[in-house]
Amino acid sequence: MFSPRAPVIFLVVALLGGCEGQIAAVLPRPIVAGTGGGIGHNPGPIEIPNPCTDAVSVGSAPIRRLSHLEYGYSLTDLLDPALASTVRAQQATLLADSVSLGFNNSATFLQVSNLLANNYMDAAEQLSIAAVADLTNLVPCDANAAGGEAGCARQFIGSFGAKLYRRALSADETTAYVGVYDKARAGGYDFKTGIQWLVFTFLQSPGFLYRVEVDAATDPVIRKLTGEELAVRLSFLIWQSAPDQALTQAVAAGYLETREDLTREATRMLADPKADRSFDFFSQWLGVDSLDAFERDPTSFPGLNPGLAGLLRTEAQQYVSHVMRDDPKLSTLLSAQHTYVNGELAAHYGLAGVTGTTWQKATWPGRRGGVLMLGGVLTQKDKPSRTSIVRRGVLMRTQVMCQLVSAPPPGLPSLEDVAGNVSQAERLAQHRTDSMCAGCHNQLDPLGMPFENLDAVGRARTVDEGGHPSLTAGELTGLSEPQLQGAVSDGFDLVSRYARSSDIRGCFTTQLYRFTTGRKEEQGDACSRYQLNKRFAASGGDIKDLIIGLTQTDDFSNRRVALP
Amino acid sequence: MKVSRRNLLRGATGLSLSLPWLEAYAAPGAPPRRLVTVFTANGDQITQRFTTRGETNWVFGEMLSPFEAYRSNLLVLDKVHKYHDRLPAGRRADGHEQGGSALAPWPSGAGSFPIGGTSDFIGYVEGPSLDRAIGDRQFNELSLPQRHLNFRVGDNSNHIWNTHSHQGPVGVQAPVPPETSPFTAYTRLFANLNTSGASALAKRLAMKQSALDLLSGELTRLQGKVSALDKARLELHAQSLRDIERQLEAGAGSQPACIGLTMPAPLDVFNGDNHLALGRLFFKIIGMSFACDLVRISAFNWSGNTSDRIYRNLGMTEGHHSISHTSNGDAFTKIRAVKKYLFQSSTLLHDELKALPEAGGTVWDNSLVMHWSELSQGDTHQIDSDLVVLAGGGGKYFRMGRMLDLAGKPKRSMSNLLISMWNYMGYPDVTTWGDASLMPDGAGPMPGLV
Repeated sequence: MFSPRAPVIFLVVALLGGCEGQIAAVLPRPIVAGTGGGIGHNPGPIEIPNPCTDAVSVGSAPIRRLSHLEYGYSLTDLLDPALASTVRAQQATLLADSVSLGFNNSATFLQVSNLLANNYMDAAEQLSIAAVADLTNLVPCDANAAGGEAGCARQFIGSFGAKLYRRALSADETTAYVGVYDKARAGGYDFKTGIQWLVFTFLQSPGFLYRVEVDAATDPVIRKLTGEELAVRLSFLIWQSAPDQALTQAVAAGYLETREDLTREATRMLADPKADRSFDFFSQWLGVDSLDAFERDPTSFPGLNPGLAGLLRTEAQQYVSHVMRDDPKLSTLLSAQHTYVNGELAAHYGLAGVTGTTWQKATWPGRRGGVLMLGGVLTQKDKPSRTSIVRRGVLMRTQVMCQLVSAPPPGLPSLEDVAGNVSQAERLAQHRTDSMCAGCHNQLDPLGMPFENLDAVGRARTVDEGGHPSLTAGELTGLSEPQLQGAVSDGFDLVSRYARSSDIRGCFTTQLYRFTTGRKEEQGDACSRYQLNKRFAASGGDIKDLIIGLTQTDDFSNRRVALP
Repeated sequence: MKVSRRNLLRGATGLSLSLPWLEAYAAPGAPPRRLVTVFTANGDQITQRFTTRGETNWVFGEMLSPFEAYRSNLLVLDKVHKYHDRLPAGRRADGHEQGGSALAPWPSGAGSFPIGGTSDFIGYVEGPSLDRAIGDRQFNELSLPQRHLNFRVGDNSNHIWNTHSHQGPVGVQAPVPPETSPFTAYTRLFANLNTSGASALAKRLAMKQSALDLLSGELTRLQGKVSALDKARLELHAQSLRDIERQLEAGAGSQPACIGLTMPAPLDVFNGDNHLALGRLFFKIIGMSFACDLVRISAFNWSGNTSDRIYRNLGMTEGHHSISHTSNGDAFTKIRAVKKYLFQSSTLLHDELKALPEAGGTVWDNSLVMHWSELSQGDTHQIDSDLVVLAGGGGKYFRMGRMLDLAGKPKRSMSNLLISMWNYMGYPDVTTWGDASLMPDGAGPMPGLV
């Protein structure tokens, strides 16, 4: 099936000279002139003058509905661990949100349609039934004790509400929930049913489903966030979930006020296993999540492991989490010459010496390394029966280099087939002699060709599907760093250059910024991103330090007041 | 089993004889008109649609032969033009993207996708789609329980390439992700309203009602505290809750043909092997929803645009979209086979509608199925020669049993056709709809159809 993240549509036959020159006029910095036209721009900070002034500057901070991942993680963390599988099952029933910028957590597009409201309701019904099956783990009091059932229900509203709302309920809110409980009892239903109605309601409530920062009319134009607000931003940044008890206690004690406090808590949280959830960012950024739609033709790839997509996903997860734990450098992520396999995946790759179900480190035998050359990243947009040089090039150009690929102009002519038995690379080369195609294909194909020695299921090869030698010569264009540009010998050469590039570092920062803020970068956060990039460079490209850095910006700790 | 209607909310409150849209109805008490759009991806082969051309004596090519059995109820439109090339640069995506959004005839916005824009990320279209816009109006004016049905087979991810429904309003990107599970849809539309045992049902309804009261109140309070943009987003949520309230109140219909469906054991809705079975279930749900008058308009999609689904059942090893990029004879043979298969599968919807009795005839007599694609033909990515097949009795609004060659004719824009659909659905007051640049010969319905 068609895969969503880098949907390469018309590119094989259809790109244009039309994109040449369209970009430079409107974008902050045209790319360095390459062999063809310009597509895209580089948002890296390298040549951007320091945008910071004495004044605090921030981007917009819209309310954010929980992504489905955040919904699942929050409930996993807040509810009885025995309910974890029910949470996962119900999370899977939620209608997929509209993707924007490659991610499925866009503040703009995470809306509650009628269908999703129905999904939330059905999920809340199932979860509430499961939650009240054993009241002892849910309700913090004895309904038979002095306060009676009503008192216990009120206590439950206070404690459960504070967890779900990530703050204490207001008096009005408490009264409203008491009303829900009272209605159940007035209807003749028992205490347990009353609690179920409460859980059912809490799980659909705006206080749970939205992260809201409310401003007051007396606030200045830009205000500092409260400790409670910072805790929520911080926990969703690192765990995609609600604050834990330690963080909540730090807030209560006044220990979440300063940047040092944020550093301390962020460091603690990054050491928690929940920090492994950062894989969701890598997965969506590089399209690993679209392995759901991975489909290969059994004639072209006989004997393929039927669980290959799952194995490739786990490999990517293992690789990223090991990098983050052992050596969290972007350069390591992009070019470490090893991977993680179990017996099945080792057999698929033809790696000797690994058997059994345990995932273990394995060194690539040839010139191969980095996250981009993992089977689950490089091949997920390939064709069912062959590699796609163009789609691989698009992945590099748009996701790794943060550049744009233009739409073809209207009225493209039909292209005749290239005659004769030629390789995909040769066929594309002939297309690039057509000026209609060259402008953009010159920007894409040379970034995909270096990987031709890896087949459409990620295995090393020396000849392609048609029996032609797998040639890996390509070209890197579009960076601001002349020493890294030019001919590349193979995929490993390309990713090694990426690993040394400050432009790529800037792109990575941009992608992470988009994911964590749920929006596109803005002028208002230019200073925060500038400082973040400087920090990222100073740390030698340490990703964990970059995440801590995200908590240190003006944009993180402040908000532009947005009154009704 | 019979689905009981919990009250007679609509009909009683929804009709007012002074409203202009009533004029389009054939007679008081006549069954309502319905519309289903059925999408199949990647265009077809323009030159192979017919072996003989002619308004009444046309002969279908093999690719379109599954439609022959419905001939007297067809209005075949050859060479409809989408005119997306007329949108300003930077406000249009490529043919697949913009063409797939053709039910929402508005320019694209910016900000979401790195492929397909000109100088910025391209975005979703900025305006409502036909199914949603008509559905909203009917929801408001007729008090129907549902605004529209919006179904797609497959894809657990929603983006510019597979989103066909949009909420609007004009100027706002508001994609509406489709339902992909007929099982969830069935529960939502029917089974939730008819659980075993009246007391269990009453208890669940009371719980939901009580929660909805609190949730709506909280949303209202929150809306008073946030920016205008955030308030608008919360208003969508509030509207969704109000819709649920109405849906809970309305229940299912009381029409004679309105009976429950027997659903099979759940299937994996993202497993490609279930493609046809899932489509059939959606067709049954659409038919029954029409028979029960829960809704009168539906968008159905066999896939997203650019679908690269591999039709193994047809012996293929390459994806549909990949094949469609190639211009040689072998590729076109395969494209025709895929399209024939999809058209054949789509006629299952015709048969579902024909099987539902209504007012001395069937639901089919009062329905139109609009078969369409994002492109005219895949290898050229052109949008100037689309095939649109209208099928059904359509309440005798259009003159059926005809094939129209629109080449060179005025107002052959898809957007003009959408205005025809508004008129058909009972809204003659709609004389223009969509961005003006998409109707280079002017607004108004497509000539020659009625």
